Amino acid sequence: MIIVTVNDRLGTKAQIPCLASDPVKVFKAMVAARIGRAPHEIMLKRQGERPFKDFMTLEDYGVSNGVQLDLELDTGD
Amino acid sequence: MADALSIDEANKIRIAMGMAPLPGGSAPAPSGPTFRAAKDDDDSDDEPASTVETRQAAAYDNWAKLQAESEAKKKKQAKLDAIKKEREKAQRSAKLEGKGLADAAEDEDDMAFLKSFKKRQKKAAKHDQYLKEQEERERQALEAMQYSESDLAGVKVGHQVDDFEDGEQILVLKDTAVDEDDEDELEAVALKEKERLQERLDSKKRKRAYDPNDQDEGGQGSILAQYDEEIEGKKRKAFTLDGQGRTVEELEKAAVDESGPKRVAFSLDILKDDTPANDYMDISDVKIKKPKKKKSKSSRRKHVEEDEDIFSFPVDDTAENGAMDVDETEDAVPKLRKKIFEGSFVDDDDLQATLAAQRQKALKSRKKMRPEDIARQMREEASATPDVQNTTEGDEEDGGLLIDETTEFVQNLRQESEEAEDNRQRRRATSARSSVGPNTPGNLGTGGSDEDGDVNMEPSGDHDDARPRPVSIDANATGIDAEETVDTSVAGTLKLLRQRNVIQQSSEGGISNKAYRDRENFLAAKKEAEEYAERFAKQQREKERDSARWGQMSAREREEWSRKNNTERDKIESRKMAEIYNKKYVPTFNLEYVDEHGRTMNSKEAFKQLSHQFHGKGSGNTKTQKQLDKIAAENKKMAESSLETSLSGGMSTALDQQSKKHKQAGVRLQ
Repeated sequence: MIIVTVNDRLGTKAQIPCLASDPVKVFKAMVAARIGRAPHEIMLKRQGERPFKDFMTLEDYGVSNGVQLDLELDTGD
Repeated sequence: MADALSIDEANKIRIAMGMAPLPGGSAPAPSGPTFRAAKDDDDSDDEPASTVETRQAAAYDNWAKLQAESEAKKKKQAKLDAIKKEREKAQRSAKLEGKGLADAAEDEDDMAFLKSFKKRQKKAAKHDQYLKEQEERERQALEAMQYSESDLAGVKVGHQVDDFEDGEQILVLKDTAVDEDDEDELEAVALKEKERLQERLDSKKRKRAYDPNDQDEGGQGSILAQYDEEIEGKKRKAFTLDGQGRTVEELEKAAVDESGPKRVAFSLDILKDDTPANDYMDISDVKIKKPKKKKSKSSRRKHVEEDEDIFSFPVDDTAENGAMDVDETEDAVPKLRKKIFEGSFVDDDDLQATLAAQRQKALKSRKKMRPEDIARQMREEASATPDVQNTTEGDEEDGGLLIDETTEFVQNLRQESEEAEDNRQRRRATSARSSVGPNTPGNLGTGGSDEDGDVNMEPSGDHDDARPRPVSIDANATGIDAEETVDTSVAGTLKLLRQRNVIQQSSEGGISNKAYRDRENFLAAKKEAEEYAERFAKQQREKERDSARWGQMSAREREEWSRKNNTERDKIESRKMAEIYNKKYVPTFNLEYVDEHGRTMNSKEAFKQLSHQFHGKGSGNTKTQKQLDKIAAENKKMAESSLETSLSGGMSTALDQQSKKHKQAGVRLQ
């Protein structure tokens, strides 16, 4: 189990326990449950990189314990 | 570290999504022992051969199963084999169906068989014939089907026969409209293509209306042939096959040729012989005459001839009568003048004609008058007026008589002959007189003491006159010396060389002579001093040996002593020599450079040669040739007589050059 920090640098910051093998979609759902926003409105990315795709796992993006991901609003385009 | 609560929440979501829950949640998901779901299989373990017993128990079953399998296999194989066997058997029997040879015969009788055999043979023969006939028919049909050249008789081919010379061509029927009732025409696609291309190329060319090279051999080109195509349409090149390997046109042409006039072949080779191989002449045939420089010579000669014309009469006359030259020269001058006039006035033909006639007349009349007649006439005139000579002389003086070397020379010649004649006459007279009364030298010496003084005086004068005068005979009087020759004397040779400037007439000859004498003096003094020193040394040495001291000294001491004396003597001698040198020796340097031809060079030439040696290259071809020519010319000039008058060399050319330089005109007479 790893704990990943999600931060939108606007005041919302959450620590979410998960497995490294979880797909990004599941992770988004857990984030959504925590921050109160719909999962399809959530965009996750490492700082300065491109956003995570839903079907990839956190492992694929090299997310490990204690990593902070940027949280942004996904407008759908 | 997320707290257990958040994990729990997450687990809830995860489970809802169908994902495995996270471990470490506060609420353990399975509470109590968990059991495996019961299987509805037999009671055997899911691990069958885990123990020896189970394995042993299974062994029998396994064997039985194996056995059953092999049994079933065998049975199946046997069944298959049986089916195969049965099928083959059925096939074999099927081939053997029908009657056998023996079975076929209905009647068992041999006689009957033999009878029927003949019948059967006939039948077979009939069948064979039928087959043959059929074959023949087929062959004929095939032949009929075949297409030969005879089928092509009368068919037109849209090409020229010559076009087919290269390789085989495939001919096809020409495309025409169906309703057109033209006969069929064959054409080769490739040839057609070629023709079209040729046509296109021809059309691109700018055609001349008249091309003489394009005419056919007979020269029967139609008039204005270039419009033939426009009027009559394009000429089709075509021939018709006659079915026997020839064309109809060919046959027609052959017929025409036989009927038409035969042409005779004419070779043009005979014309070839006359034509020159080359337009230009061969160099070896050509002779180029060197143009002689006649002009100047001829003009000069003409000049001289005119001069002779002027002088000829007076000379002839003076031989007989010296008084008449003035008249004659006056006579000659108008003649000359007439000649000039003839050339200058050609405008008036009538006048010229009349003048010419007059001149002819005058000439005739004058010709009758021979020189002798003129002379006689003159003599008569002279006798009539004795003072004519004086008057003429006076006239001459008035006109300004010029006396120069030339006139003097001519005068001399005349005097010479006159004097010679006089001498001869006088000698005759004296000889006659001497026979009457001999004249002795004593008589001459005594002079007037003789009885007949008049007579005495004459012979002495006679003798003076009659004495041969080598001086006057010598050319000296003319101012021109005969050239000295080498064979007479050294002095003569020297003079000759001086005249020709071979030896420079040195003004400082005396000085060089003095120098020479001084040098000789010096050499003599030197020699004398040396000899004296030698003699003195000898004497001294003898004196030394004779002295008392010499006897007492050892050999080494003697040597030492003599050496000392020698050095002393040497010193004295060298001092004397130095004195002589100081007093008498004057060093002179005379640098002389001699070139490869043995000529002494002047400083300029010497410098040039040194320069050439230094730079390692000499003059070019032309310069060298020029130099050689110059040397050759010098040598030639040296060898020639100074009085040579030919244009090529001698002193005369030099004189000419000099006179030209000083702008003095003059003719050299000799």
